[in-house]
Amino acid sequence: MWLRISFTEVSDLKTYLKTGGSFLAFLLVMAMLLSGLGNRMSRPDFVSNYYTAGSVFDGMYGLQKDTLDVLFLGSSHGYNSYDPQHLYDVYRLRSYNLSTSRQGPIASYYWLKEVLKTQSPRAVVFEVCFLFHDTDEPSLRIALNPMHLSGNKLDAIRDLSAQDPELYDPLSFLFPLIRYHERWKEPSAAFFQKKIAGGQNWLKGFFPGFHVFNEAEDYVPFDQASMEKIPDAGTEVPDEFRLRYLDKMADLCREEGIALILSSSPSTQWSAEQHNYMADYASARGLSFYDFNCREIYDALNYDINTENLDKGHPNVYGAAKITSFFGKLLTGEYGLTGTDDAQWVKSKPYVDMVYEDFAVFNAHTLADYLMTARKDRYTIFLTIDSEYQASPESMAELEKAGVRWAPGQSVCACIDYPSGTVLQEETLLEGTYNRGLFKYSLSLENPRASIILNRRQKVTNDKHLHICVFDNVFGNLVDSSSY
Amino acid sequence: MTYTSFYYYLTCAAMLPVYYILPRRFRWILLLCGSLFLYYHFCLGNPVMLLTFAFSVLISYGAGLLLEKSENDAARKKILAAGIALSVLPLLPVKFLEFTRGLGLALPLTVLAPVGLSFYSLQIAAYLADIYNRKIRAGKNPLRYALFVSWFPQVIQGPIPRYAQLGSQFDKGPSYDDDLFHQGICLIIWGFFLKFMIADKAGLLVNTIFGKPDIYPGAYVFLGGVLYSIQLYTDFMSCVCMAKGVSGLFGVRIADNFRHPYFASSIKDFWRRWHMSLSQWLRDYIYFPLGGSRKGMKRTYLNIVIVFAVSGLWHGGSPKFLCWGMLHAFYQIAGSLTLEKRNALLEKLRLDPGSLSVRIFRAIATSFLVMLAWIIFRAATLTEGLAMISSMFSVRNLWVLFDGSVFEMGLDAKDCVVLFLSVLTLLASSLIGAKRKISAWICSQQLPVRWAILLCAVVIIALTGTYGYGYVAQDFIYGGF
Repeated sequence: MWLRISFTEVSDLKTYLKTGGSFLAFLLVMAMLLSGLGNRMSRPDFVSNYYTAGSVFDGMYGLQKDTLDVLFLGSSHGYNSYDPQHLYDVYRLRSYNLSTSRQGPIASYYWLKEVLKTQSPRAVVFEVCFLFHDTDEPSLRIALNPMHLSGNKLDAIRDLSAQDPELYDPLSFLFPLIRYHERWKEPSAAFFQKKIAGGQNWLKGFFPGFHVFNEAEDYVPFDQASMEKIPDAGTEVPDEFRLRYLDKMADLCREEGIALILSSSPSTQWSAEQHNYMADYASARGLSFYDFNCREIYDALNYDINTENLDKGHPNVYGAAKITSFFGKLLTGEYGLTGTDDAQWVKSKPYVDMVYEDFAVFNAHTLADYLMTARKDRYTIFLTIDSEYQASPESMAELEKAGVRWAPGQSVCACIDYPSGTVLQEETLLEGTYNRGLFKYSLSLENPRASIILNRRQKVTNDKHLHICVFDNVFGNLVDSSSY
Repeated sequence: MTYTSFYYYLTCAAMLPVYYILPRRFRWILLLCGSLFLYYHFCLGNPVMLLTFAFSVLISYGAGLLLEKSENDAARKKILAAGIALSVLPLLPVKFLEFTRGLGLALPLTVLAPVGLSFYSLQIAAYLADIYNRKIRAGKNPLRYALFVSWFPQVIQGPIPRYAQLGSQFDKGPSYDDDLFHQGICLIIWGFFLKFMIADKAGLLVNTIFGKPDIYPGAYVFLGGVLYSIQLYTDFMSCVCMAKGVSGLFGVRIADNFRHPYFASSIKDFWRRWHMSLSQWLRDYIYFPLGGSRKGMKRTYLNIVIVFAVSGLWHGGSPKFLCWGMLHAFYQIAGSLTLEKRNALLEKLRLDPGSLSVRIFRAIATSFLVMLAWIIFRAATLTEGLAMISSMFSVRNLWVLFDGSVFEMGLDAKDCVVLFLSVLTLLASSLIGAKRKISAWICSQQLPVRWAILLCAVVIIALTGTYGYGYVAQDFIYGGF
């Protein structure tokens, strides 16, 4: 009976295989489609023209095997503090910065494990600020979403869902559409932007802070040696969950023979209690802890939080150069790391230099400064000057150098396009294209308001007398716009 | 786990290849294992629920065998009564407590109702009654009978199956049916469309309006009533579609439960189209045994009242459900009493009762009456429901439907547009579906076209549906009855 039944049903086998195969293929295509769409929808991790978390992690995966000497991890305090290009330029140390906004130690730990699959860094520098703060769910996902599906990612998901099964539903990591599908309501250019300006992650995870803080008048660094406890300051203990992953990082580094260095960047929000906890922790674990809020280091670097931070807790480009140099000296000296020539860092150098040029433009404060710093082959300058603008002799000279004909009492709308070497100007209305003809611009001076519209977006409109916008044709982004 | 859970469909997908490799006569064993495994998860492993369910299955199975063996009419009656009473025993305290709660009497008692209790109780009662009436033979194999009661795609919220229709399929051993399989996939996707694109979106607005009826009177109530009518229909139908779809994957056919109810031309017609398995159950096991329409006008009307009282109480023990049932009984009796006069009026107006305009008018009028009853059904209490209906006619604030106020009630403008377009899609599909089966048409297309249609639908639902993070997932409404 059994044989007879089995035999007669063999004829059905072809049908089953055909349908089953087709059904399976359909499910696979559907899963791939939904997963791919979800990954795309999870990409609005765009922070600036020079930094998106996704491209940072993509860049790390793109590094050649075993080419990393130093790995930086941490939160935004980390990505603003450590500049891998600077470390290479000065010390020939090859480093990468995998810090992300509000990155919790759990993400740092699993990223360290992921990096160790292909790299063998000799030192890991961990910015400790977010050991004392809770990482919100969106930030944790931003840090973990770009991790390739692997045992490390599954372990991270398992640990998170054990903490909160609803918030960190494992399925929502595998199919990010579950988490991000609502974003169909807010499409924008940045929404689908996977890559940063210039198309590649030349900065290797460093996020250059362009602003200058200038508001930390009351800030006083701690009067205590960086490795010692501050007397009578008490101790602030971090959450057990976060601490567990710092412990794991310390254990993993010890097993792998990697020097784990703890660091705290200059911040008006960092407390003596937090310093004490980290000093105790480092001492108990035999780790090094460098607190840039301690006078010993702060003064040695000649650090000024007002001019070298972009806000209360994040170093700007100047500050990052000092902190990075500190670690370069430390790693090549005390830790005995030696520099190596590597094309991956050589290749990125010209682009990083351009970022620094953008920084100079961003911090220009007069028309003369703008025209001077932006006199580069890659910039296009849009300018409106009305008849009431009082120009300095320097500005007049720079305008003339740039090829703009203007005299006090006149008004002008001008486009100085260095890539094509053309200067176009009209009295009240100027329209044309820029960025190799890809975008349209429209400048107008119709009293009392001036207006600059770039690529259909209003960039400037107010009743001031001078308006200037600088566009970078290499990175394809607007560097700065100002009105005076 | 629910019928929209990923893990539910993962279990189904894992069962399918094994199922079709097995010889037909053994397939039911896998279905039983799957049903018990999923029922265990539906109940979240609660032992009280599982034991209560097992008790009902065992008692009804034994009663069925005894009914078949017994030749003595009096004894058979007693067995039937005892079998039904014992099998549906768990339903009684649940409904009683609901009723006392509805009356404002909070008894210090809690009863844990097994998942799908209201549905499988009626299923069991119908099984025993059919054996008693010698329409079917009792199931001999207790495990196969357990599969009939616990058939996982429909155990939570129906449709309420009959043994002659479903049990016999398990006895024979379901075979692969190409059309059923492919249409099953279409039905599952359609079910998700109804649930995520319409029911749960409408539910957000409905919850706001019915949650604060003092703040949302007048036109809001009208909007809430319309949306709740849509929500209830699509929510319930989505579950039925998923049940039919999953059953189809396993070669099992289950009955339809809806036939475009809001196209009904009268309340009587509505009940022929809405929750058909319940209506037919009430007709076969309550209305007909009471004499139906054969014992004169007054008795007919009394039977209608009894049937709708039972229907109301089945939906919930609260007085509002009883009132909802009575309102439908009133509609039906009034409809019957005024039928001649209404026909005379049409004749006077020289309108053809079969014309499109008259049919549209009747469908709108019927849907409006049904909507009024749904407001009572959905409101927190009977008095609140009556007050909401009253405010619909007394508060003049029609402009709130057009001044953007609606977008401030939990569903933003973009989601409202999606909801509107989805309802239009449902309407179009109902109009087309009344003439031809859309799923059959999709399945008749070439593979690339078929896949493109289905994948497009999946992507649209996945992108614009209301589910996942940020939403409190809405349970299926009928699963709560």
